[in-house]
Amino acid sequence: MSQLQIRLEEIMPALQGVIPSIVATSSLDHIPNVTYISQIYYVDPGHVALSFQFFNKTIRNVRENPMLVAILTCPVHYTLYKMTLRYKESQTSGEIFDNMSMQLDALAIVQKKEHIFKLRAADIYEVISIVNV
Amino acid sequence: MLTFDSRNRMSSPDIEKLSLQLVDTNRKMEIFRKVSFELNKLVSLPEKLQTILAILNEQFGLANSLILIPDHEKQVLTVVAGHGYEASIIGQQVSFGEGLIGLAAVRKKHINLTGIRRKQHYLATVSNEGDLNFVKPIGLTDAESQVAIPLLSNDELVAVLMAESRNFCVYDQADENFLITLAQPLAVSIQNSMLYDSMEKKIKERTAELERLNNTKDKFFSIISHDLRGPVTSFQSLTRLFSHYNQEGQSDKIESLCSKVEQSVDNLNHLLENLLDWSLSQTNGIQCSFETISLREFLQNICQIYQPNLSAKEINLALDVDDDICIRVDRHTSATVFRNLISNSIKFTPRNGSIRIAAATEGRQVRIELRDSGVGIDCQRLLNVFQLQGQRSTFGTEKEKGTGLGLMLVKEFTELNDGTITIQSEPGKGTLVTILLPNGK
Repeated sequence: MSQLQIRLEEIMPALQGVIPSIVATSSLDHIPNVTYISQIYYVDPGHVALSFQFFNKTIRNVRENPMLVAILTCPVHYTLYKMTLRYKESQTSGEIFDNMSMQLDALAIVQKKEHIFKLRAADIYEVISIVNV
Repeated sequence: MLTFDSRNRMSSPDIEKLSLQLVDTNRKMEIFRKVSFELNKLVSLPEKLQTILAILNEQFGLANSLILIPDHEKQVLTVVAGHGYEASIIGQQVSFGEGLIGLAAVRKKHINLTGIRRKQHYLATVSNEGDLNFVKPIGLTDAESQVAIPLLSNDELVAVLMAESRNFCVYDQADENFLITLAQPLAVSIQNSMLYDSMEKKIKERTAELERLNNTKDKFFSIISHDLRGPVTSFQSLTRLFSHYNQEGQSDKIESLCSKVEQSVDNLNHLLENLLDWSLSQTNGIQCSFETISLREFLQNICQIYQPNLSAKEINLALDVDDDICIRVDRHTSATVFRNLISNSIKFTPRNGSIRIAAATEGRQVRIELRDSGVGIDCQRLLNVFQLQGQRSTFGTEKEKGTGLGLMLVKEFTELNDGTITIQSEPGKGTLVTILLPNGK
């Protein structure tokens, strides 16, 4: 069982995707990659999800090396949180996938680009730890 | 998670947290109470929903909110209530699947988004989609947070509640859950109101139909008691006279009575024909069979029937209709129209008067004008010539009898033939009847 210094529910505003999060991964041969992602989605008290829309280095890395570190910013208090995650699985159907897909569609429909922005999978991560930065 | 000290007492941050939760719960209960009270009011649906949005703004801070009702056939949602927008937003429409509202309607699932504009920029950037086009179908153009909740009753979409704001993170999970809970009684109430409205509409339709049928019945009895009784009474008197002249041996008087009998029989026949046609039209029993017919030949045959009447009053009837004009109509009902119009003209045109029937094609229609030099119709009577109410047969210039049904039948049967009829008249200046019927060519 993971030990959480801060509970996931306490940082809900940071999981709304108002301020992009920074994520760091590394390949199997330890080459790091740091990038921005739009949103980390809340799944349940022990899990979050990242959207998988396009093949990129982050996606490739976590498939090889499941550990991921994310820096999230609370848009209300501007507090920074460091979250350590472990990739568990990719879901291509089910409630989590549907909800994430619907949010993506809602954004894309306004631009009439729903045919381009398609969710390939909801990548589920176990939350290992959350600490203040 | 609550924490306790060694004496099993709650820590003060926990008490504070619980206190805040209690205040929040009380606030939500108060909203529920107010909304339930409004939902039970006997007011129109838009008024009810408008008040509910005002409560949600006052108690819940939903400054910009809308309720939209779906039209499943047309696949659109129409705004029936709005708060925080121009009044012109009422009646605006959003297609199913369009924007957040349309998506919530199609998927029947709630959506809660914040940081909308930045996320859209992000999507466009990562996909190299270039310029952005943030076209929102309805509401604030620069909203950063939006929540759309479908109001469902028995899994059927009844309405969509949408709230939006220019600020970030306005609606948290608890707010969203509360709105979802509130959506249930709202959906049921909207559905009940709509059912009530449709039942009210049906009742009004039924009442109008019953009133119409009652008027029909009244008219029927009026004709039976007044118009039909007259000729029968005449026959009774004539029979007595026949008997009297027969006893007296006055054969010349009997002969003169014969023409009166013939006239009474004609009148009675005309009345019965109209009565039968009218009864059929009232019970939708008229079956039209449309065909292309030569107008001149058709009118000539009808005029022929009235030749004795025209001769008796020395009225000149001119038929100015070209041979090549054709109309596409039902022969039986059209004949009734022209029989009644010609009969009326003869009835109200004094001795030595004139009647002229002219026709001309006008694109897809044929214009037929029937003009007489009769006594004309006064303004008040002209307004009601096609109405059932207050109709009474009137005597002609030489005390000819009518049915009081003629012009009503004329209008109904003209419309059955996809035609229109207008009457222009002035007392002492004759009458002009104009009929437009479908061109047969």
